[in-house]
Amino acid sequence: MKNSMNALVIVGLVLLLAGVGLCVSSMMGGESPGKLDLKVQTKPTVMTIAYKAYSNPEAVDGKYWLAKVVMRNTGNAPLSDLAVSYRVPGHIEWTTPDTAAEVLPGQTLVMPIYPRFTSAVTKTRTRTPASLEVKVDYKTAGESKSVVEKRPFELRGVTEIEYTSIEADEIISWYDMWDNSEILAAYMTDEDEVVKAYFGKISETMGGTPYVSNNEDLGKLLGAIYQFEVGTGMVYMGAKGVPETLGETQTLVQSIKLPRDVIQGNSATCIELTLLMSALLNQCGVKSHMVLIPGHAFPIIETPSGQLVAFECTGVGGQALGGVDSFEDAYKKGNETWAKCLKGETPYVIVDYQSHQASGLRPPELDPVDISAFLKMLNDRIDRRVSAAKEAQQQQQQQQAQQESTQQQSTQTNPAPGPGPNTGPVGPDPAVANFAAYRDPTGRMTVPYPVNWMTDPNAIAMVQQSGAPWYLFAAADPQSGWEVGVFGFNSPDQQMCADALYGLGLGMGIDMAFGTPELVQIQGRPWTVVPISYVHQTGTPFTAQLYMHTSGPLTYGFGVSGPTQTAGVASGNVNLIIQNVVITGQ
Amino acid sequence: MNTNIYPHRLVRVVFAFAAIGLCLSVLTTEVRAEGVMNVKQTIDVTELGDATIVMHMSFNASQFQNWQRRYGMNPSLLKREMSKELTPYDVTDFKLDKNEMDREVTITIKARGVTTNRGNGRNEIEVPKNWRLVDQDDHELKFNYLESVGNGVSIQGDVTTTLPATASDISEPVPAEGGMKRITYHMPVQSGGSGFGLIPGIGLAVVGLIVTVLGLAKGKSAGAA
Repeated sequence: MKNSMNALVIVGLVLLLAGVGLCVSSMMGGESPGKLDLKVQTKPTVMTIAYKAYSNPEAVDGKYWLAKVVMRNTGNAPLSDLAVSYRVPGHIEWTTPDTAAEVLPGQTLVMPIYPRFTSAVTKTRTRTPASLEVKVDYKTAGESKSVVEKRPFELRGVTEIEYTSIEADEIISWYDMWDNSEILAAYMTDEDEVVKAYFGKISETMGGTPYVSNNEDLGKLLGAIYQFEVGTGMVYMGAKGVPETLGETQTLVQSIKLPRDVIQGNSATCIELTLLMSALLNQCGVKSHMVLIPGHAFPIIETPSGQLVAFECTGVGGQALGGVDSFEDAYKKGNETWAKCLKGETPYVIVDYQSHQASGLRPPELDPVDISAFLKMLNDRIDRRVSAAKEAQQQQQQQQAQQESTQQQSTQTNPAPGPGPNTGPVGPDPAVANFAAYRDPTGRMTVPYPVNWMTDPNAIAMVQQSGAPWYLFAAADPQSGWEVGVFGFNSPDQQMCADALYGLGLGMGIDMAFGTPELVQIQGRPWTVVPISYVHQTGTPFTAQLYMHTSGPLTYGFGVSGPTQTAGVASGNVNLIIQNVVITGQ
Repeated sequence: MNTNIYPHRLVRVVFAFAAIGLCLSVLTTEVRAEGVMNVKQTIDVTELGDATIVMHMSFNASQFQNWQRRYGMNPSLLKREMSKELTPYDVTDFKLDKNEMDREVTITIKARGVTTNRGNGRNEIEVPKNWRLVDQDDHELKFNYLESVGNGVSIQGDVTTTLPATASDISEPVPAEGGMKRITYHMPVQSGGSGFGLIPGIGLAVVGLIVTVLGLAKGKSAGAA
């Protein structure tokens, strides 16, 4: 009996002690401390041109963050006195910590990082490795702890733009390629002193800065800007201004010069010319936007009467590119392209500089420039152009006199094709619905092509100037990438003609493989057709066919080519082109 | 010194408001879908500051056609686009339900870190400034808003936000940084320990005490006998 009593007392005391111990341990804070689960998600690159947007959580709805720090307490006790700071060595020192009083067990704290780079980051010219270091200090169970995480990323050069941050294999439409198109607003540096000084020279030609109150005033301003660019030798660079293909990551990053660099270099792509035009128009309070279409960009301008008109800035051409469009032609071409956009024939994206800049995509701070030296450079440029124009005029007069003299003395022995009546694109092709037609300089060969295929006279002129005067015309399908080219060889030797085409390809970095020629009949005429295959500069396999027909001392030619992958899509139009090429006369 | 003090970013709760606007702006760029569109949202906030956000949208025929054209075959595109708008949160779940017969879409998002714990039980949550508080019933806050998304289309939104049942001292929304409104509320303060051992410990001690007393009493009665 006594034994059972003792056992009961012992068990009772053990239970009592265990219970008290459990209570004390529970109230003292813990058998297990809080545990920080830290995740740092970092973007792979920062576009330095938009460093102001990256520092502003409100810019573009907070889109341009560098990193996202997710802190989750996976322990059983709270984390307290959290302090989060970060640095980017070489650019940003440790920041003043952002704090949170506590994070309870199971609770999550999220902190996006919007790095406050200084304007010094715009000194970055090419891709540069950088790193982000995130430090989290906190307390748990009375103990202070600190965690530092390091993540690499890259700073893009100030002229480099990533048109999209969407991974190549995630891109499903042309529009996905423009996910970051608003960044272009940061390049529209209308407040730049260089742009203002340049516009000052333009306004001198107008007798002062105009007040644009009606469409006529706007026309004069636009004309003065365009004529000044042409008059001072501004050159459109034929490089592709806008990527046009999908899924090729190499086309999604591009180098774009700021307007001040365009002015100083006096050459630009279509995007750069558009940015410059918009920056200049803004000097008079005229609003404009950039329109991006496959392979091209141009401005649309808000008129005082509330309309939108377009302009083809690349009309400046330049002597090296084979011609300059008149102001009227540049205006007409721009609005023709814009009309196609509005009809839904061409996809387009509009970059509204003002609204994007208002949302935080402000231009970068720019280095000061010696404006007097800049104006001297500009004046020298104008003087040189005036002198060159005078010399050219004199030479032209001398050549004209010589030609007249030669023509009187010689008979015509040179059968080279010369411009004939109705040369070039001649409007709708009556033989094929929805096709236009191109007629060669002899007027004998007509090549049809779909009306929605695009042509680029400047690019053609550039090819001709590069040593291929026989390259007469080209039209391309922006969707499939297939195109038709028209050739006029001043030789009856078809092998020589094929060699010329091969040489042109080599000059462009393309090594064409020619297959076995065959004879075919097209519209009752014999043509030699040569199958060709090659790898395009983008790495895409291309298929082509060269057609040649010799008549007298001339060989007429045309070629169809495009990505092998889209041959099926394009075959309908391509077959219609081939079947309806017409040669007239003997 | 470079710094980045944006406390409100820790708690900025757009509640997918912008994402709805995004969906609609996509629509309005493709279709002349004039009119008012009704969106119903519920936001259930847990004691730990996580939230389940449910958005329910009804479309007219042309709006639904265009929505389908963009997202119908590729719902992950919707997730991708909405995730961009949800940067301040840790999104853990994303679900899309469509009722094609009635042209209705329901999006459910689970997000962590939508409130901030300021210590001593004080918590903060933020809502867009154009949300108007129209009713409050205990822990349930009802907001509405009207937002133009261009092309003549407006969103009429009704939002019901439910705070944790243990929340108290819920404040009126007051202006905060970044075009937001802040609501403050209090939660019961947890002790420093886990709390898991306290009740079992007391129970164990009480049982031990009773057993000990019984043992001693038994001993006494045995001694008396």
